[in-house]
Amino acid sequence: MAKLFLFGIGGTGSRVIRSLTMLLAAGVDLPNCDRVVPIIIDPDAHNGDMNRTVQLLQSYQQIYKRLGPREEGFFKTDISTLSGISQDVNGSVKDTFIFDFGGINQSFRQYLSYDGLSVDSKGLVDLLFTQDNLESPLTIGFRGSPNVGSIVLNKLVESPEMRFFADNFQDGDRIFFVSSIFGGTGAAGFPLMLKNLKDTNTRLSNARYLRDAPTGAVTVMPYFALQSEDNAVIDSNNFLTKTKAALSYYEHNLQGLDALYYLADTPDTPYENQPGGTQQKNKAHVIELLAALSIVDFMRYSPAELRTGGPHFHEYGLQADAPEIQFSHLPDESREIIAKQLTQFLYFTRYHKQHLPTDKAPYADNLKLDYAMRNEPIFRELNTFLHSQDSGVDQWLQELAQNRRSFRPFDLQTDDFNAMILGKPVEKKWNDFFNKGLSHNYLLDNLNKTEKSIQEPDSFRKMLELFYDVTDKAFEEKVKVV
Amino acid sequence: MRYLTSFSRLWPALGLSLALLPGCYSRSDMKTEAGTATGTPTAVPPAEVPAAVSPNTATPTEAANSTQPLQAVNVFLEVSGSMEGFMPKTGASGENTKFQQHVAQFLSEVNRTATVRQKAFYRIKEKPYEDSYQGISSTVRSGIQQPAKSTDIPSVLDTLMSNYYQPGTVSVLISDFIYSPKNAGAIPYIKTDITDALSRSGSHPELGVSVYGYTSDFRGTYYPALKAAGKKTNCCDTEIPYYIWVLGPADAVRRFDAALLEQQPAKQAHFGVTYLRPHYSLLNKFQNKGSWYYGDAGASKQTADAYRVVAVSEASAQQPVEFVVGIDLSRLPGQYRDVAYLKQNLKLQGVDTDATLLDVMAATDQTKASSGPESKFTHFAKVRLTRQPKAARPLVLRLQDQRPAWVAQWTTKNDATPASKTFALSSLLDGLAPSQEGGARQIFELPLTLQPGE
Amino acid sequence: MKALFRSIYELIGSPQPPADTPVYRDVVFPNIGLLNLGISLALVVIFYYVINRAMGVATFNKGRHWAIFLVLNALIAFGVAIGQAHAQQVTDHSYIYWLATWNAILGIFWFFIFSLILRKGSTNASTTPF
Repeated sequence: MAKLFLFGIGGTGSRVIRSLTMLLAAGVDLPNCDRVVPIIIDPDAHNGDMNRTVQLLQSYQQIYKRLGPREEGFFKTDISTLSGISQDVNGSVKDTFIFDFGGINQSFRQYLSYDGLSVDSKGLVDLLFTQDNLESPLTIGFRGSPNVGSIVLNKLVESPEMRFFADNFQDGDRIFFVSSIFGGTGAAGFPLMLKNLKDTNTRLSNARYLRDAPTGAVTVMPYFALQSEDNAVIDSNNFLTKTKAALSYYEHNLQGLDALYYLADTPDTPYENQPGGTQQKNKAHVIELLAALSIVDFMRYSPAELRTGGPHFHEYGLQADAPEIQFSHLPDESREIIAKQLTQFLYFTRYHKQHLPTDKAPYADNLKLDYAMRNEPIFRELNTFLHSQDSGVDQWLQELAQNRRSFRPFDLQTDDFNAMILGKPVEKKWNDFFNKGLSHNYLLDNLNKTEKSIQEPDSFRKMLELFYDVTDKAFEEKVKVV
Repeated sequence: MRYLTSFSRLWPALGLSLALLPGCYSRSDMKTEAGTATGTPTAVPPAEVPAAVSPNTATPTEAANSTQPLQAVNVFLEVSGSMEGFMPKTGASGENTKFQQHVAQFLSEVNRTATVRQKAFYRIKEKPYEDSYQGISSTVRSGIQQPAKSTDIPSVLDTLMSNYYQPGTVSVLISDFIYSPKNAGAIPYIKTDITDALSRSGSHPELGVSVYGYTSDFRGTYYPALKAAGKKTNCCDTEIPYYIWVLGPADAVRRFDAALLEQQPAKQAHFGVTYLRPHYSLLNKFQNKGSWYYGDAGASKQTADAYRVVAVSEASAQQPVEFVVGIDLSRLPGQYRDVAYLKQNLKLQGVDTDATLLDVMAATDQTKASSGPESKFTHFAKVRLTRQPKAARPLVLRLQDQRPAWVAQWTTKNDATPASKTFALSSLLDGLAPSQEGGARQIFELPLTLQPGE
Repeated sequence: MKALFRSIYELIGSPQPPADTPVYRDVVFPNIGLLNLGISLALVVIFYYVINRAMGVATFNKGRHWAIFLVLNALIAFGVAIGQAHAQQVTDHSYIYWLATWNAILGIFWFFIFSLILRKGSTNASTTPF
């Protein structure tokens, strides 16, 4: 039962975990690992990105629970909350993907008990923090201020969650951090967390396992800009400065890291400037997808490979500097990992929306889909996962396509399965009257055919397996390569 | 192409189904089945309905070698004085009698016919004298040169039976058949004399006699049978009857009749001649009424035309069943084809049924021209019944042999006055039919079966 | 065989006119009976196995498509009965049309039965008509 503990720090952490969840839902293989335990560390309990990621994770979890472990398929990898990995004796760890900050609804000044400090200490605090830092409430995070974050997050290691995490850490488990370098929470949190976990004098249990655990991190460097507003708390013009400062710190202070992935892009469209709260809900970006890919990449290395000659540093380059990235613009390695899986998942998603509710076919009858889709919670859960306006797969692909730089491997407007992969339409031979490529008929026929051969009493499991097999066959027969 | 080939796999199946469309069963199949099952369906009644078969099947079958010509024919022409009037010497005017005309032609036909191998011609005086065709023909044409004494009919018959009765051989006797008994007291024994004469040389159960009666003008001396009346010279104003008798084995007689005498407009009577059972069949689409159908096995075959079994689905007084039996009487003598005769003598006999013979009809132009099976029959017997039979029951159409009415009309007890009558003809003919004690002889029997419809 | 078809077809009464009874019983009934069975079977096979399996057509499997074949079967059965009757030169009678109608109903019945038996083997219509 090798686990991957995935710390997603700050808004970027949430967004990367969202992308990873999508990849796992698509059936992307995550080797050397049976279970992913995402821990989102964000003091901003109302962060929009975080909330929809959590929603997505919960959906995924529900679906996985029903499906169970399999050789291959959609939702192949288990995703679990921290408390889900073991029975918590104290009950102090909540069953959630979010690290519980215990409701810090006070200002930084209150958090430091500034007023009770000695004059000397007050002077030091005044030196390190601006008045604005001191007055800002911690409920919306650190608002791009690593200096604030580092203080608050340093306390995390004493939390029951961290103890629980350490108690259940086993040999072979891995740790991965996702953070942005230019923000507040991430930039401050990642080195702190790393330092505390790898600390030789730590009071955490399983310290040796923790110290020896293969550990990786992806650090996202600036890839977006914020609309400049005169009185805004976060100024994206500072991003580069902050990045430089952080990098110079990372250069000497990331002990115990086996692999570090750097990702960056030149900013294009400025995001709406929302320092935090429910309004901070940014469109999914390809950089997050690539960050999620870095997790997959990390997991593909064996522990031995990671330990020799480490730490390993990775950067990412596209095949071409295209404003709209299609599969052909990805390097071969990435394409091999995600192209087929995403295509299959898209076919499933589209079919699920477009045809499944109206299909009057043997497979649908045998699965009792008509009834199940309307009444069974798990089918509704899947519907939410795929089509939720907020956090669904549709929406995610839509966002990726709309963002700059956009990841647009699919034509999301078309109903024609043949034309769904941009730049790679399914070939239809002019002389083959009956071969309509990936027609509804083709898929339906294969659904009916395959349904007969699957021995699975549970209709939900059967449906997922069925669609995985059929989309797999469709890809192999009709698309072949992208 | 994969789909195209899978589609093309359909063609054989499609072809097969098209080939099957006309149906597996056909009437010709039925015919073959039925044909092999029942043998010769035309003459033999279906084996499945034994009740229909009459126990009295004296009727010869088709197997008789009817195509073989007859062995011989012996034509005997009486040349006694009483015949002179039929064959007067040719007058200056060249007139001749009907007799001359008819008999000369008949002799010629006999001489020419292929029906008989050997032909012999005789003049009868006190005994037969063989003559050639030319000789006898010229006797008929130019008159009797030396009339013989009156000949005695019983002794002539005796001679014929003793010397000329052979299988496949017929004797043809042309005579006025005026039989003069020795005295008036012998008159009641004419019948016996004839019978005796025919059986003197031994019993001939096969013997058949056909009698054809004609009349002819008569120019000469008329000798009545009753000699007391005295002969009349320069007779006569009325036509006088003469006869052609055909004697021989019944089968030979029948064939000779059919070949040479049937066409002639004559009165006829037949004694002991047997006939093949005529071809007959039920007709299900000719004047049929009510709920019945052919109950024969394999009745659906189209061309059998030999249906014997009436299956009655329902019958009541309100909805009687009427069916017609078509009978081909073309090979029977004209006597038996006469509708009046048939109406009188065709009898329907059934068991446990109220079936009655409603009518007997002759074929009309309409039926002959019909495309249906009725075109093959010369006569039709219509039967009606109002009760459904409980089980298979025999029903027989039987034609009785009845002495034709003309015999009585042509018979006289006193031929002193020349007329178209012959003395004691009835008695003469009585002598030809000695074995009728057991009721009327029957010409044919057509067995049918009535059964309830299933 | 003949007795079977006879009993089936005489459920609507004896053949009319009665004179044609033997032809109906010996020829027409067995013929249309066998043809009806054969055609119904063929149409069922075409619908379930040719179209909805061998040809891989997956969108021709609705109840209404099945109904098209059902009606087609009935029409063929009707036509076959009339055709057979005429081929055997039976007397024209309204009975022929009653027989044809009955044959059509039987065709529907056979089609239904065969459908129930054979539909499971189909890929895309194994749950048609229900």
